[in-house]
Amino acid sequence: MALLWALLLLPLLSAAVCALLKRASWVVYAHRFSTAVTVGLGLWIVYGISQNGPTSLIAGWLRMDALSAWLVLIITLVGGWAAWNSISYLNKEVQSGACPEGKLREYYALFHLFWGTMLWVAVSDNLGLLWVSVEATTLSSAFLVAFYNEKSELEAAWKYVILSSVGIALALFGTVLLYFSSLGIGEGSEGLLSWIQLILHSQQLDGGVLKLAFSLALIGYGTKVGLSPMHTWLPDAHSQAPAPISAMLSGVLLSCAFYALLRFHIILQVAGLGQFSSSLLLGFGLFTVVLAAFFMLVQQDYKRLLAYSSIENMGLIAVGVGFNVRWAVFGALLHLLYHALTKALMFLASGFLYLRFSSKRIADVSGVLRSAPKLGAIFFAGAMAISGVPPFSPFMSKFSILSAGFTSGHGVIGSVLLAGIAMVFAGYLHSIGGMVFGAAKEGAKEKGQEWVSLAVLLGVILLFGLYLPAPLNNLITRVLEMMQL
Amino acid sequence: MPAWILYASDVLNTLLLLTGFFLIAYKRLFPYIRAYTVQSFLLAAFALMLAIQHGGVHLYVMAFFTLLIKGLLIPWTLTALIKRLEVKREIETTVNVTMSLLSAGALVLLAQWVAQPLLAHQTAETSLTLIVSLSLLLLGLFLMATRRKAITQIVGLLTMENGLFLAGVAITSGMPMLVELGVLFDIFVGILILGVFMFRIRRTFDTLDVESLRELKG
Repeated sequence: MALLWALLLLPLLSAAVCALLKRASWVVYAHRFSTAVTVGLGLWIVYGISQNGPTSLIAGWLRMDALSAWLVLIITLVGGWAAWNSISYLNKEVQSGACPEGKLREYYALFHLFWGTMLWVAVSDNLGLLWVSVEATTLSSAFLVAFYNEKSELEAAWKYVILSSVGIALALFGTVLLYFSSLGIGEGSEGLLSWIQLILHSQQLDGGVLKLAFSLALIGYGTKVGLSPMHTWLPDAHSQAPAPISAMLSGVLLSCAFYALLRFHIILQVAGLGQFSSSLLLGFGLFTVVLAAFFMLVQQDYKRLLAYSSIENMGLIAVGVGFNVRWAVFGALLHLLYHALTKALMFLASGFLYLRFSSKRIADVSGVLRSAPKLGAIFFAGAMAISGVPPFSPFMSKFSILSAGFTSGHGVIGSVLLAGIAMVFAGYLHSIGGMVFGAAKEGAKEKGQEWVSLAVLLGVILLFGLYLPAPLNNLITRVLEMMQL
Repeated sequence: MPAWILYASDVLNTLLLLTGFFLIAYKRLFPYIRAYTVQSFLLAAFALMLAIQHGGVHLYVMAFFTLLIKGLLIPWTLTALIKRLEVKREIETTVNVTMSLLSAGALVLLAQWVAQPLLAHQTAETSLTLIVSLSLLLLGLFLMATRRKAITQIVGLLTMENGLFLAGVAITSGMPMLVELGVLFDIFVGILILGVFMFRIRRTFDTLDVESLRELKG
């Protein structure tokens, strides 16, 4: 599996190369090359896993199964797209004088480091290594959140690092307890940290300790997922970071954190404690959706609006897994991908809006459809897509979660969820509608080709709504098998 | 288990809990950092004690790296930060010291209560360690919530980590070494990054009071 090694090491290597190169133009070349290779490698490996099943890189440490492949798919697709658009976005920033050219290599170096750490999250079989990788994603993205060192950015980054670290400290405790629950099963008197070994010996694990371990992991990794009430860092960090980084945080990083949580959930599921972990996910998820829906109704700032929408969608995914029936989990896994794609589109479009209007306030933006018809139309279509309007793909995943919830006897929860989704739709229509329609502001004429790559992504989102490629279906089916659904 | 180990474990646990209370009680920064340093040394001593008891290279290595990173490198970094940033040496609290100490007592009782489901599997010795480790975790959380300086928040976080580390070595006699080293490394890098942020916050806000970080809301 030399290719997998290449995928894991290439981003780290490119980070070093970007940091060392002197000329800005060379840095961009290195970035382009490395992005193309990373995406190509990633997709090829994901395809291989979907055909041939799991592969182990270092027994007990690095292993890639269908769930890892699903996450790698999200990381490479959304990450690659954000990487590609970083070039045009940063060019505009450099031209407008917001970003000195010398800072470009810092950006690209950190970008690849961040990207790489997330890939390590996806292939860590050892839960301790998983923890180390998740913490590394926080550390490598901290300077990207505070990229221009403005007051509000520093505040956001400080909260991000402090709150994530506290959260993740609790997740470490959960990991220690998981190890503790398996003492005596491993070689000699040792315990287990390898996920696949834990699954194989799940019947011998101590149930009480396992429940406590999951609860701590839920609070810990849940902080990074953005589950309420631990979500408070998220709107700040997502709204202050440069647009392509917001796309990475919202689309990819949250998915990585949820992935870590899912690994814990599957252990409990296989050990016969799925009832316990899924009800906790259900409770936290539902609370998150409702809370985020209320916050979205009163948002004044469009990037914060999108950030709360991420919180809401993560809550929805948690509920989907919490229903713990086949089609709900199927929908939740799909939604992880569809949300990542759509939110990446929205955050980047909002970045281009910010470059035009130099304000993040909803009230300061209006008539985008008149002054920049293509950007406005795409932004509006994206908002409709993420709030679950057919025929876009998020509609399919949301529908799958909801209908499975209703048919599995979760009528009340399903209704509350539906009400939350309706509120979010209303919130989007109200705020984004006001920005896109209405009278055009002076001096914001359409120029540049930024809409092209946005349109391509919108096409992909639309395509997934109509057709799910067989390899992807294959991967999800394998994950559902792992979860015994 | 040899008698001296029981004795040493008792003494170390008591002292560790005591450092937690000192952190709550101190009102000046340098003694505060010193209390954290002593705590880290005690932690290293604890790991050393377990190493002697169980044998095996990996616990010795852990004891060494705990001493190096938590006992020397991190306190040194924090002290350097305080000096370079010319931080005012007074610690501002949102809860006064008397109330803080009372709450700390309550938190130790809470730790005792939370630990109950885990205690069933433990000997009397590790039970005490587990309660102390959970107490440190909660005391660290309390420090983060009630102390307003950026640097005191960091020490709160570090105290939590020390509690975790203690729990890790006590109930499992150490996780695989590579994992523990990775954790230590992450903590250290985290502190360095927060240190850089402190420089930048100081430059743009002209203060290190985290109360001033309240522009972003809702």
